[in-house]
Amino acid sequence: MGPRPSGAARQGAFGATVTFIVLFVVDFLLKGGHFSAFDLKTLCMNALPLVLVALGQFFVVLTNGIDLSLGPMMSVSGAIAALTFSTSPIGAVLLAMVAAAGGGLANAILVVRLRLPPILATLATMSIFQGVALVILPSPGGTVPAGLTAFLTNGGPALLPVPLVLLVCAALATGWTMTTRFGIWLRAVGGDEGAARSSGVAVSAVKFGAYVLAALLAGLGGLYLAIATANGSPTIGDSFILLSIAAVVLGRVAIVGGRGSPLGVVMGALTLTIIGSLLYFANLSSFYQSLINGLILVGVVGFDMIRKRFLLAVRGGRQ
Amino acid sequence: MSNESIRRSTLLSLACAGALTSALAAVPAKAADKIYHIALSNSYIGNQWRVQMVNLTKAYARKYYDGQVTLTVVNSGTDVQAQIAAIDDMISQKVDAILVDPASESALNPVLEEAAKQGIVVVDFDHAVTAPSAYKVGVDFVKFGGIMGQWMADTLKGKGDIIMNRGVPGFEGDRAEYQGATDAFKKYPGIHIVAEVYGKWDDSVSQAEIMKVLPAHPSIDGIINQAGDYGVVQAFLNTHRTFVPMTGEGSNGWRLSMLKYKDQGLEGISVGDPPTLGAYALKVAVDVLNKNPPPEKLINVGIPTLTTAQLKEGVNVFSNLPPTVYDDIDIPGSGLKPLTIEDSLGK
Amino acid sequence: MTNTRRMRNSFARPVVLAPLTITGCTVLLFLVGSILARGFMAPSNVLMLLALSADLGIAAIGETVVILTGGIDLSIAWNVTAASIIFTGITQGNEGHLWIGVAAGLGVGALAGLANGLGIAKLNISPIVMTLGMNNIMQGLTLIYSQGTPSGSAPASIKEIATGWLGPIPIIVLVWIGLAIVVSACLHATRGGRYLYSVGESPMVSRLTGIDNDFVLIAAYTVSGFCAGLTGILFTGFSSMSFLGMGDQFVLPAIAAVVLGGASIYGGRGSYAGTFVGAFFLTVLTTVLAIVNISIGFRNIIYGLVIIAAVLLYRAYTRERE
Repeated sequence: MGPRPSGAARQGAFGATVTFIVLFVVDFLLKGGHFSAFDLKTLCMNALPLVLVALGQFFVVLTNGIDLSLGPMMSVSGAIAALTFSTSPIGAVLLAMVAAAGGGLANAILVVRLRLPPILATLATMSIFQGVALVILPSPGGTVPAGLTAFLTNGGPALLPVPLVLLVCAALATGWTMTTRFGIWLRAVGGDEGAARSSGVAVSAVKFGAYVLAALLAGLGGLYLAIATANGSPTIGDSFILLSIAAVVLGRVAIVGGRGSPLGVVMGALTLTIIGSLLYFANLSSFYQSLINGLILVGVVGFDMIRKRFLLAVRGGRQ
Repeated sequence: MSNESIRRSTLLSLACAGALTSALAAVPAKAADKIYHIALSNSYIGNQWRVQMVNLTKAYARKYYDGQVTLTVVNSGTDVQAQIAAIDDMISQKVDAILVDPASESALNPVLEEAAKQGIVVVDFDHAVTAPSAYKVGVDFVKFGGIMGQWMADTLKGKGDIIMNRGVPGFEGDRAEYQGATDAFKKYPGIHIVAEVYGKWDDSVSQAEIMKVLPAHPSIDGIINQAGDYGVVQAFLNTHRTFVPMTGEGSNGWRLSMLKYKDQGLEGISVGDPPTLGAYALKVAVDVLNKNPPPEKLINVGIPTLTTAQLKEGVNVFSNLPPTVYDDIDIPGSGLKPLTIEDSLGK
Repeated sequence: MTNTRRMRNSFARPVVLAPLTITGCTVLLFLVGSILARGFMAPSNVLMLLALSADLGIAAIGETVVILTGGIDLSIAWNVTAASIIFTGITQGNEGHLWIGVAAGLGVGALAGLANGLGIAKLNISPIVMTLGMNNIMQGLTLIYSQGTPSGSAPASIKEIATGWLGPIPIIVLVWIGLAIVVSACLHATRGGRYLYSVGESPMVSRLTGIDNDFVLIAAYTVSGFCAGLTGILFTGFSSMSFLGMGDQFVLPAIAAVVLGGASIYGGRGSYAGTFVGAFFLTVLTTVLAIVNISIGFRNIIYGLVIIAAVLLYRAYTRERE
């Protein structure tokens, strides 16, 4: 695929970045013009699990799919890791990743081989993974080595905390993936599956890759969540089911059509994280918080669409 | 009603504006004298218990700590990560104390330890976190389930088939209450749990789940409801089954039903979990800040337990209030100054 | 594109075969159920399970209409709750204000749906974000309106509709079947229904044939909001009260019911008959799982596996070769 998708993708990431910066500035002002190393560290730490799972969701969305099982996948990998860390930390990570890959493979088989609609297949695996997490770990528990938690949440110099490094690494790795042949094919499949196939793209393999990669990223997110919270919980991933999709959409990734960029997704996830902070520092009455949350969500995207339409009108372009 | 609602919403926006200005005004004053900035991190606000809890905490601050405490409340939903982020914001703002009603009993430990490390007083309530430096105020859910189990065994004279109506799967509270009840049954080999449903602590989910399993169990002797009790009463009414002994929480609807259907054979017990816990946590926080900490970090509050005979209109059951309201306001032995049911409804 | 076009040509088959297969699967579930519990297949139990599916089925009317256009509605949860709380707030359990209460409940749902439709059609906001945001907005408005404490209860007439019986049949089942007939007739035999399919199938073609796509979308989301309002009112009758969070249980099952019924999530294909049996199937499945005495983890796993098996079954008939 030529310059068209990447140009549009860049534009989308720009909108998402502007949104994040605007909200960040508002938050900064509400806080009384204060942003410390602690704030930087915690922002990255709290956004990281969502960033990871949203980047996973991004790959699936690029293939015109959707994955509702990524949230519970996080619970599964976190539960496995929390239960096995005390035996062998490396083994725990490997086991969690193998489980995630297995889950992703199951999704891929259902969607690509058996041709089930992605939403239905992953709705079913969502329930299955929720069940698996509950079987492994019926209620919150397990342990994580304290040193690991300390390093991954508190480690690094003040201006370059480990959570920031991890976040940047995740973004760069995904960005790099998009420049590989796999990434280019992924966009091609999302843009026009038939055309991609006739120009020799291994469509099935690409889609398989997308689902497995998504599950692996969700697995990493769950792993980080377990480490950061120092234990495992069988339900902790559930709130990420819709959040991961919202982050992708806020990242201006087209739900149909293979357009969007990892940078946009990272910004979308950061935006969702900063909204919570905004609500706190604005000191709103309890009952108004969900209202404002919803208005921001709708307003951010709505404003962006109006802006885009306005620009198109000015340039005399057409969609 | 529309007048009423308009008046209410106008009042609310006024109150809101007032809260905003007073909060803004309070910031400079803090430097001058010891006005404590206390933040309440609530998770989900979309249920009645949490609403009453927030109202009571605010009412206590307004009534008894006027000019001494600025209270900020943030609701971060069911998302644990969002609650961690909210607590990080509180740490960043250097509040004096954090009150937390956790979305998870375990996932908040690192962030709460961080807060304590920064010299912030942390008081957890409702669900007990395991963070060692936090004060913890709440009922012991194992004991809570134990009271229900023991009452059921006594009522059935140690023999019978029962249905367990559990909470939200995967939550520590559900596990603890279940354990309490089943531990109590260990002494009674004649008690059999013939079905377990997950009513998710929700009335209509409980109602539907019980309606689904009742036909498969034509002769059932009792139901342990962790909550969702009022819904289960509706299920019995809808299916025209004769009532069996059942347990329930402290909701007004359940208590009204215990009275209303006692002549139709409904034997019940109401085991309460007062929404006043937030106010209690506030008091503990202020006491700690005033260098007058409680002797123990873990404060297990008494569990109000009422049989049908102990229900009294206007005291612990209110026929003029909606069924959803939780009736227990007093926490005996807490040393809390009085709060009323109206306070809990934000009136 | 070629791929989707091929699907479209054979779209009539899944629309017929999916409901038939799901009906077959439901019968199988009943057989399993009757092994586990005597009397599971008794007509009274079948009717009661139909009654227990009705609220989900009615909420899923709106979801069907929206999914036919290629959209999705995630705001059902708090639209249902808002309608219910306004309804009991106005009626306070009295028959006198019944119709004002019904109008207000339906109106609130429809207004929320209208707002969804405007945002999606006019501002081009993605349906996922628009309706997710609207869900939060409705939660906020509901909390503000009720001050966190819903008041009142369900009037006796609504309770009677939701839980009463007309001779041997639950009234709510008759209501649901009646609605199903009306909705199906609207979808398949009116111009409006045709427009819905057309917009979902290809917005561009539909625009070229002179259909006002925006209007169709706005109407679809308004209908969805209206159905959520109706569900809220009927569900109030079932619960005999309104409470915060009562609508949460409908969102994902409503989508599942629609897609199980053979609708395409990309729009343009599906039927309400499919959704109807989809909703019933899900209720029977959760009932069977509630009767089996296994841990909740395994219940969730089996739930997922059965859904996959059911869909694979009708996929087997409709498999398209490339």
